[in-house]
Amino acid sequence: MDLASKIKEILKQAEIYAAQGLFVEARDNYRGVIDLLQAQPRVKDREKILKSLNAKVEAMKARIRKVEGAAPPPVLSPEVQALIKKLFRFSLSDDPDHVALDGAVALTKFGQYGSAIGEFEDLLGRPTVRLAAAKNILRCHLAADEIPAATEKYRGWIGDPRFDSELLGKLHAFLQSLLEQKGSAVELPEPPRILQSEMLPTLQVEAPDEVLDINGVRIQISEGPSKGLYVDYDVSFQSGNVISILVSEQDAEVLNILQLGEILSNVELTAAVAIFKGSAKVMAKNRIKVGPRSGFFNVDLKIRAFAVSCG
Amino acid sequence: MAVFNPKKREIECKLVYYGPGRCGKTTNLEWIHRTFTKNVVGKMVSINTDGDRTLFFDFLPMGLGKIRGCEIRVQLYTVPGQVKYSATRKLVLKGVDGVVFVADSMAVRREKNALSLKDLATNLKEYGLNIFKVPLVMQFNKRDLGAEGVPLLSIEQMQRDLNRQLKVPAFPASALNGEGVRDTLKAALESTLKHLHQEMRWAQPT
Repeated sequence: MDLASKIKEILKQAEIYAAQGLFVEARDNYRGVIDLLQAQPRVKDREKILKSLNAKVEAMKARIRKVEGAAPPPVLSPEVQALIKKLFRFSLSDDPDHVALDGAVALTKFGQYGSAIGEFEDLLGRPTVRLAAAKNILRCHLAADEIPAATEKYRGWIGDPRFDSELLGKLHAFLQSLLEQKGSAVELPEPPRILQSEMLPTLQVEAPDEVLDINGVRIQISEGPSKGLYVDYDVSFQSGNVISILVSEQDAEVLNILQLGEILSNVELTAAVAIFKGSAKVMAKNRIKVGPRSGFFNVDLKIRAFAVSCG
Repeated sequence: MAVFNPKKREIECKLVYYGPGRCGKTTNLEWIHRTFTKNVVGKMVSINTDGDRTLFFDFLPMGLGKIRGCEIRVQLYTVPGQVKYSATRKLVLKGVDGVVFVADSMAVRREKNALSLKDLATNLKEYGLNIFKVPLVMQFNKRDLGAEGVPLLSIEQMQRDLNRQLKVPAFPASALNGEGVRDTLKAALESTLKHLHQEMRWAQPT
């Protein structure tokens, strides 16, 4: 095949790739033709063609940037939001408050933070889901990079009769931890002191759906040379009774026991007000491939039982 | 997870079209929407970006009528193919009963096909599902582009790349003109309903 035919063919492919939305492949084809032409100084109108091809490469680069750019999620129509709430509400609960909560959580998964916050606000009036709704409001603000809105919300709840000191204590620990993860130095005002009489009933109730905020977890190594030793990890994220920890790839013995589905029967969970003994099931284990935590594993543990150790 | 109502004898299941970005998942659903008008029981919902890429998912509800004494409803979904929408893909996959893996036949997309299939296996595993056991059908899409001079992977090469171990039904297709779309859907539904019958015993004996 002569050079002209070859170039024609590559350019035709590039046009098709671009029409298919495969801009990287199209750009590579244009670059390929540029390379071919640069090696052929005697081609007629070479400079003009090269200029045109370079413009095409730039156009493809612009489209790649647009596709790969992190545009904020669009605000969806009320009909689509209603559909999302219906399709992505996975809880089997029949309780209307929990159903409404799950629907609002589904909206957050698709970036519909504004609408979700409105729905969570409505649920603050329902005691059974108040804590979860409040936490989700804070999460939404932080996901939308609205740190001042989140802290203002928390401050507004201090003094709100719907929020007792225990609830505020949980929200304080929760938001402070999220702020730290975001690298914010904002110090939240402490909630009013928790009275012992308010605290005790919570600690005596075994209720996996209404767990305290867990700050740390201690895991006993059950096999290998370090068998019997304990290792401590900070909790990086918590959603209900599922906590996430980051385990370095250096901690091979720990990673070895953290197999999917494995139940760790002897863990200690540290909350702001007490230490609990309990068990945890490994729900997910994913290697972090990019960013400052690259090489770490993000491990999700579902807390399965509580027994108060002290506090 | 399919929902079976034994009293009303109704079953609703979820079929997800999975695959790399721009492989033609949405095009499959659009063709089904246009063609199976009698079976489409609601609006097709597509949430796209400006560049016409699936942002969150496409959704198409269908009714297959009565099969072996049971009313069958199917929800068809697509996932966003772009790598950066990993969390959304995983979310859409939740509760899946059957999967159509749409692979792009263009030679330049060979690696993307393999990566997407691996991503599917990983996401299924996170829901406790094994890619070797989930009802799965493959589609080798865009076969028509060969006629336009685009280098395509041969069917044999795609079988070797993607289906050597899985050994699931695979169909060449050109979703843009509907070629292979019906066969793919039919095989996926058969496989899914058969699997669900083993789990739920929904079908009445003939």
